[in-house]
Amino acid sequence: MPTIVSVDDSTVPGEGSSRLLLLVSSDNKHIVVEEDIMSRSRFISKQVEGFEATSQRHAILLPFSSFVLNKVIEYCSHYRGYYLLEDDPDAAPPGRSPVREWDQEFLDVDRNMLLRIIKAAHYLEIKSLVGSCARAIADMIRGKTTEEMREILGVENDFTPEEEHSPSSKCTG
Amino acid sequence: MLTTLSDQESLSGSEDHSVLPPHSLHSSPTGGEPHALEFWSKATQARLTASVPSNASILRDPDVVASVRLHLNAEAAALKLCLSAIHTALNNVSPISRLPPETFLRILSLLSSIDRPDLQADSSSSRGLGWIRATHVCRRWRLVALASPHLWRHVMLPLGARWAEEMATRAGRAPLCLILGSAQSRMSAKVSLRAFVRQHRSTIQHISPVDPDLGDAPQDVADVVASLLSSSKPAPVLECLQSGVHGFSWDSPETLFVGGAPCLRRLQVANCCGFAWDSPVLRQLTSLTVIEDPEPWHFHGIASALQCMTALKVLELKNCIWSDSEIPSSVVIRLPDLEILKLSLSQDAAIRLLSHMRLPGTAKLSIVSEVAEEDAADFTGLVHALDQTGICAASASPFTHLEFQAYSKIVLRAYRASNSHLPWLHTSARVAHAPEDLYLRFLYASEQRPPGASLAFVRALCGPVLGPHVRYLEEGFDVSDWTAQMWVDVFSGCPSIRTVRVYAKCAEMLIAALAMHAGRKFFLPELAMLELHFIVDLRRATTLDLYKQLLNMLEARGEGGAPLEQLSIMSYGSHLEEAHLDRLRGIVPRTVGWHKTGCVNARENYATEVNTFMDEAARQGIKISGRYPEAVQEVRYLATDGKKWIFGLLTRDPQTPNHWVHYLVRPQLTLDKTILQASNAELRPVLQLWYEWFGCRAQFHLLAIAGASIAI
Repeated sequence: MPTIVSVDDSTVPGEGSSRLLLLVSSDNKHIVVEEDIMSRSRFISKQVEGFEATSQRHAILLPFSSFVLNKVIEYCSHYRGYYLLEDDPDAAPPGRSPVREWDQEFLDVDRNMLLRIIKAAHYLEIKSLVGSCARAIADMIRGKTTEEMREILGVENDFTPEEEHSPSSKCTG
Repeated sequence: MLTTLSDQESLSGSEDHSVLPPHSLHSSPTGGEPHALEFWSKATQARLTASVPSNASILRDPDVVASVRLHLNAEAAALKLCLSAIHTALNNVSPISRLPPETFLRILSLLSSIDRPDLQADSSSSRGLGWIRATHVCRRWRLVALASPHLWRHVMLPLGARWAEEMATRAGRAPLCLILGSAQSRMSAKVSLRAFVRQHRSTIQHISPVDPDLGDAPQDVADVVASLLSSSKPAPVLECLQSGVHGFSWDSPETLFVGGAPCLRRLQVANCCGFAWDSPVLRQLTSLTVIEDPEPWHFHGIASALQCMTALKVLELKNCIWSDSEIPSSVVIRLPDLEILKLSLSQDAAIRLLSHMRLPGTAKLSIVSEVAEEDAADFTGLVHALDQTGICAASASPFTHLEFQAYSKIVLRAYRASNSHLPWLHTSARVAHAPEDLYLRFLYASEQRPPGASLAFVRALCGPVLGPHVRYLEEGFDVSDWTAQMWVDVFSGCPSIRTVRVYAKCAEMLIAALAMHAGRKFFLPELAMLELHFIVDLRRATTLDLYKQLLNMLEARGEGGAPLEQLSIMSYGSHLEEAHLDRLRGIVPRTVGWHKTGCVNARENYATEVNTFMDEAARQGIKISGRYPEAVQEVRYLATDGKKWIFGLLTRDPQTPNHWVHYLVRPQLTLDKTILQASNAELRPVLQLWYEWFGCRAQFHLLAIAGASIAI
């Protein structure tokens, strides 16, 4: 759960329809963003609903860096106002969410950054971004050998010799 | 670093660590504990001391040597286990392992959908395993995969018996999707299709045959489908059955699914003789495809079968109907939920079938018929049949997508040469408009068309029924003989048109038509986006009065309350001068000028531009996909939003004359800005860019420059 701190009204400007949110990253950077932009995040939306119930303004502390948070905000800004199927509560089945062209370029980052973004997207409950990141990762290892997959995603072969040669563990036809 | 423990020096107890560079080996992250190398070296030394006799003379005894080898092998095996545990610990702190389980499973699911096992892969490599290679990466990945039955539900029987059984076992109770086909010769054990289907009948959800090129025994596939159809036992979860293979006819049983198939909704029947179309189980279908029926239906058979399938949403009939008998005029096939209708029939059969169908106005239609070239222009029978379906009735909305294409004599011959059908009528689902919108696209290029045929046809389509629903209009070359007044006459019935894309002479006449207005009543009052393609050199347009006419028209509409939101001008052969563009932008701020290349007389310039582009791409280390980048001849389209560029390139493949390939490259490139005549601030990313084949040649289409407020 995020830590929520009360803030002064003057800290978070904006009233009515153009309300702003204050997001605080793990490196203690304060980022003001329009609530409308972040409405794609179910997590943020739920937080905002909580604010409304208590009639208090809050800053939302998030457990990832400002660099990652800014990337997420960039994504949400780009798709502001768009309807994305994956963000529907009953989204399309997995495997049918091709990475959009813009997403491809947006996610053209190094492996660790991509993994940080997908974690942040998962935390913020932005299904469309999770789907795009997942597809990007799947594309990275598509058609690769097992060894190449390990190399790309930084994973060690931890099979024991017995597991390695177990007929039930690998199906080779 | 642990591999250094297997160094001879370490094993012999040497304390010389000069060959071990990483200082981390000598320090402990927690400080108080002995560092890794010290710990493992001492432990190893102790173990070796206990296992290997210090007296070398003893090692001359074969029994002792054997015993020592046994001990050392046990030590090595134990160390491998320890190493495995350490690697597991390493994996546990790797970024990919710290993803939430459901997110990681999503990645595996996506991978399984895009990297299916490859039947044609070299059996000596693991590449044929597809996504399953990912389960060999590490323990966690394998455990996640094995705990996810749905990942294993796609069972490709041609891969062999062991594979099929293993996949079915791993799928557990998840519904199975079977890809039927005989085992390839590379596989050791062929699976008994019939036995497998019988064993897993209760969990089979989807059955489809393998690509006929990959299966070696279509008879096997036909047999197993026939046995499933005729079985007295139920198929409780079967939803989709694609039966038969291309080029191989088979006999259907007289009765279908006696045991019941309550979930069956989608059926594809190919090359089947005597299919029992009166079977009750077919009444629940939502999708039916019939391909190449060796015993084509007669019309009365079609009518009685389709009359009962009132839940159909998709109907595709391909070369499966005789048109030798009549349907009584009282017969009506009502398909109120139909969404897609695809007919690949003779023109006569299609028209006669349509005349008995009653379809919802939202249905999408595709008709592909072989017609003689001289008959291609005669659409009247079809229009009349469409009218009969009820979709053109005043109370119903029209089709959402209609696209008409006819081809020139030259292109037609190319199609015949490749044994393709002449798609004289074709619908397009490429552009997703709002359901109530009609997308009309006329691309005529037929030299054989009788004079006036286009006018009559377009006028018929744009009458009071369809006309009000037309939102997008694209006009090609065949109406270039229209006068401005003819444009007004034909399209005055289409007041909802928002987007128009016109070419050449049509563009000139349309400008003239748009300039014709009485008071504030403008022709095409809703027009928001206008895309003009000029073959003429627009720099001469001022002398031809066209440019001035365009300015006057735009100003009049702006002042009269019907301003354009976006104007795109494609000039062929030469650049549009910036001063002209600026003047246009003064009236329509979102004006974009494009220089469309491709004219023969300017090819040298294009070659230079392409070379510049290629050099820049190479300099930036950008790989251009495609086989023959050196053969690029033309830059056909390009666009930018100031950050990225999109290029459509045409190349001529030197090895296959008349075959063109294209490249779309989206790097961050800089190129000679004179090609692009608009400030970057005015540009938007291309909304849609596609190409299509016109006989031997691909043609690119730039649909629109996306603007947030532009609806097309």
